[in-house]
Amino acid sequence: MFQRHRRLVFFSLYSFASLALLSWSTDRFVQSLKYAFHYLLQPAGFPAVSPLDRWGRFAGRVARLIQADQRALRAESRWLAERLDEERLAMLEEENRRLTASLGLARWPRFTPHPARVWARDAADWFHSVIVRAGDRAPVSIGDAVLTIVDERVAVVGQISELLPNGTARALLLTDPFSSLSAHVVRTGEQGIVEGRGADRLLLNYLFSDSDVRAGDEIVTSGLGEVTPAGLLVGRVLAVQEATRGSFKRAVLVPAAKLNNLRDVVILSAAAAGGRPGSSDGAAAGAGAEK
Amino acid sequence: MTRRAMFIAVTFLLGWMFQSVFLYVVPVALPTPHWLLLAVLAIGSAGRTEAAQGLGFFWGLSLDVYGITAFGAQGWLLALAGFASGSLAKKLDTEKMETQQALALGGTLLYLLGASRLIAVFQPAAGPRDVAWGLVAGEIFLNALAAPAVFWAVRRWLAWGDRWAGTGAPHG
Repeated sequence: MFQRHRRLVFFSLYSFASLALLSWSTDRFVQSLKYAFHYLLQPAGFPAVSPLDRWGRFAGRVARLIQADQRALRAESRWLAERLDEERLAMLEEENRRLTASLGLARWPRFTPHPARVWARDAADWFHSVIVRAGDRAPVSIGDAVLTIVDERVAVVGQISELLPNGTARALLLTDPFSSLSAHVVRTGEQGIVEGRGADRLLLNYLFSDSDVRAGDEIVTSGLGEVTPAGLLVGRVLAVQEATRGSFKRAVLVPAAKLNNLRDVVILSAAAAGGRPGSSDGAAAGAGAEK
Repeated sequence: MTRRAMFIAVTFLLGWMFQSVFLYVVPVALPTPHWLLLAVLAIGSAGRTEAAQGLGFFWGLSLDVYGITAFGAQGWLLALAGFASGSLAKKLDTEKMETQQALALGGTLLYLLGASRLIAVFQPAAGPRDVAWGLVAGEIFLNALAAPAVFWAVRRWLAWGDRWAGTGAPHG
């Protein structure tokens, strides 16, 4: 009989037990049973849950590591942006200083300064010329001096050698072998001609053999031929080449103008102030006039 | 006999551990398959009615201990599920996936209905005022989806247990 209805008997037992538990759920005995069940069951979950906990902690650490890395990247990016801003600010300050200094060029009554920008530069012609742009209305002429500001002083860059369309012009640099300029040593007053060498050095030629020129001497324009006013920076003596038989003493100069760093220049035009003798014959001719 | 009892105890522990992971990991607001209900249905449908009832009763009590239902509510419902599936085992072809899904679907529906009724009767203060229909539908759907895998795993487990305990299938 029991065997035949075993399932039903068991189900009845479970049902009775369940109903008893439900009916006396607030009874102290049932509560104790519940807590005992809880107490017995709790360790069973640990083997399954504790690896998850460990994995969760590991994943949390990885997540924190990634977050820290992202924070570092953001900080680096911010730092780079700030550095860029600082660089920009420094460039603008430098440009402002140069432009402010160029305002002082108006002190030469026979010359009119025209601000200009270096427009283009040919890699194959690096130490020879640059293309500058002063604007369509600037009365730029061949032979006009091209200047720049170095440490708030005016330095010679070269001369206009060719007028090009759209307000641009080619400026022959001091370092070009065809370029020459009358100059003198500030300390001794000795005069000579500064010539280009086709590289980043200049040569002060035609010094007498007893000249007292020394390394470090400052060389400025002498103003002869009125291509440039007198007293503009040309360069500084790097080395002196002693006179050999039948030749003059010569000084190797470092150009004052940073020819690799040219951005803003000033074209000093004599045309508006009555013209310059020989200016229309080209830069080479202008340079020749000085020679 | 001892081995068989041990096998049932191990089954109880493994089932509870498996469910614990889900209780621990899945937020309450998300529906998950009711693994223990599916296991009870699978054991019952394999003809092990007594084992299904017993495991269902104690798994249900465990869920009551950790859940919000009154102690004994889920115990009775899972025991009922084991009894019902065991009683239907001979009348249905429980090898078919459709039957397994239908059992899971009907079982879950009745289980949820029964749980809500028992809560209403024995815990009127704790009963849900608004039914989370999304959660209910999600659980029913997930149970039907997971049923074939659970039925297959449970049958493999029972077959292994029979070999280990050295007994044939003890149809209850």
